[in-house]
Amino acid sequence: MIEEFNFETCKNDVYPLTDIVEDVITKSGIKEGMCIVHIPHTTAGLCITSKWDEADFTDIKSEMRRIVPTRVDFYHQFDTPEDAAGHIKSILIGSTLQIIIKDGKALLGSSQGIYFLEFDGPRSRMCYVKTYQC
Amino acid sequence: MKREDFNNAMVQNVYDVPDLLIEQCAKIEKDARLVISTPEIFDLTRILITGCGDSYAAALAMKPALEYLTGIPTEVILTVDLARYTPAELLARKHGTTLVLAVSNSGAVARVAEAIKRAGNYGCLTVAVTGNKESKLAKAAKKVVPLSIPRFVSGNGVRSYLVSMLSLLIIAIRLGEVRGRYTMETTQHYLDAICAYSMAFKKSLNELDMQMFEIAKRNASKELFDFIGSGGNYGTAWFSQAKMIEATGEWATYADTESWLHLNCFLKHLSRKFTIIYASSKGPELSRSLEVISAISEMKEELYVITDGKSLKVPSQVAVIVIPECEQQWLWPLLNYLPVSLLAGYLCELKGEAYGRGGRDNWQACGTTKWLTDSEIHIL
Repeated sequence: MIEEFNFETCKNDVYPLTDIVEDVITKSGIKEGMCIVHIPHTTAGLCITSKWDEADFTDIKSEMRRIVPTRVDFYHQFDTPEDAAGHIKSILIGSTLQIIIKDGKALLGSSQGIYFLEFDGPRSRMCYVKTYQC
Repeated sequence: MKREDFNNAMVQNVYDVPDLLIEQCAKIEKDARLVISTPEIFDLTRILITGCGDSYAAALAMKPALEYLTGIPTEVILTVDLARYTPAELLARKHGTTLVLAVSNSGAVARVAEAIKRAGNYGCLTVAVTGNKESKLAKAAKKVVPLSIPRFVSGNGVRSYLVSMLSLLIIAIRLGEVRGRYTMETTQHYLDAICAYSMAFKKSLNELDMQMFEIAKRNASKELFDFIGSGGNYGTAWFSQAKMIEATGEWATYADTESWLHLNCFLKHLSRKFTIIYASSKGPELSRSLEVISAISEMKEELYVITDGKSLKVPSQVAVIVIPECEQQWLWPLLNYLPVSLLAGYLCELKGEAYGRGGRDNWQACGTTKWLTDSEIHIL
């Protein structure tokens, strides 16, 4: 079964998904296996990063803007410049994560958290979580 | 006297408007989307809208929406002013670009083409919104937003007026979206709100039609029609007087709420006069509209208030015509012209008139469009 979650983001939000993913793993009863987290969006990304200091999120957002500034001369003009920049940020970060399940838990380091990076917003967003034993 | 016996082209057009709006909304959004590039949109520092007749009214009606959505100073300019009077140094910009929008379904009006050609010569980004890509206007403009309005019985501009307003509105929504003033979801929300407003009007049309027919019967002998509105409703007031002149041949005038108390209040022959004020319950001018309503009431002049406010507090002798509300008050002019379009159609029938006097007798000269299309063009 694939679990679906819906949530609302703010502009350039960093939305935590760790609890959601861990909850799915616990409910699955799987002791050893894999968990796939996927977002069906082109102006957002999924990442694992440090969860202790929120200033880290500001750094990530700031660096993403530095690497891919919103410009008016993108070739993609069907939508907005924010949207065009969001597409590029999205492919740099990626939209799918694989997490190992060990001892019935997500194999994450003590500092690691799973986050949804919003490169647009505010938007209605969703993510899918699938676990399987192996 | 049965309403059905006075069915007419304007009424038929009014009934077609809600569905037309929804169909055209999707179409214009698609066709206008890539006409102005992102760099061009970000370079804009001023918007001028020009047009003649109903197109001029459409510009007035949508001006507040354009300013709200784009955040760019917007002016509605008479075509003859843009063509002949505006100093060239005011058209050429040192910083940024002026966007000049001209709406004309036929694209054949000489003065509009002349104005657009001149504005383009002085560096303005000129965009023609027209149903004829081969027209004078389309050829004079740097860019074209194509219109395609399905054929229908000619109804004195009731349908083309809607499409003129809608095209300006959709261009404005796009400009604001690209400039990052709101998200793509908000854009979709605005487009949905336009369609929801249309659906609400569709549901209320039959009742509104009956009400307007009764008002037409009671006022069939009236000879002077006075329309009042501010903000976007000033455009509705302009369009209303135009339809009344075209449909009935009677004298008609229009004013904003402020000007009415400065001038139109001195008109005489009150018993032969019919006055309508547009009072949006969400409009920033509501307090002034209510003052005008009180003043007209004190003058013992017959007054009709067209409003979206079911609980609007007006003196008891004032008649109220309640029409659907919409989420954003700047959308209201998009359909609030329909009651008077019904009224004008019925008054035309009740007075035994023909639109534009049927282009007969003294009116034969203006029964064709030659004075509009064949005018000598001077590019100054």
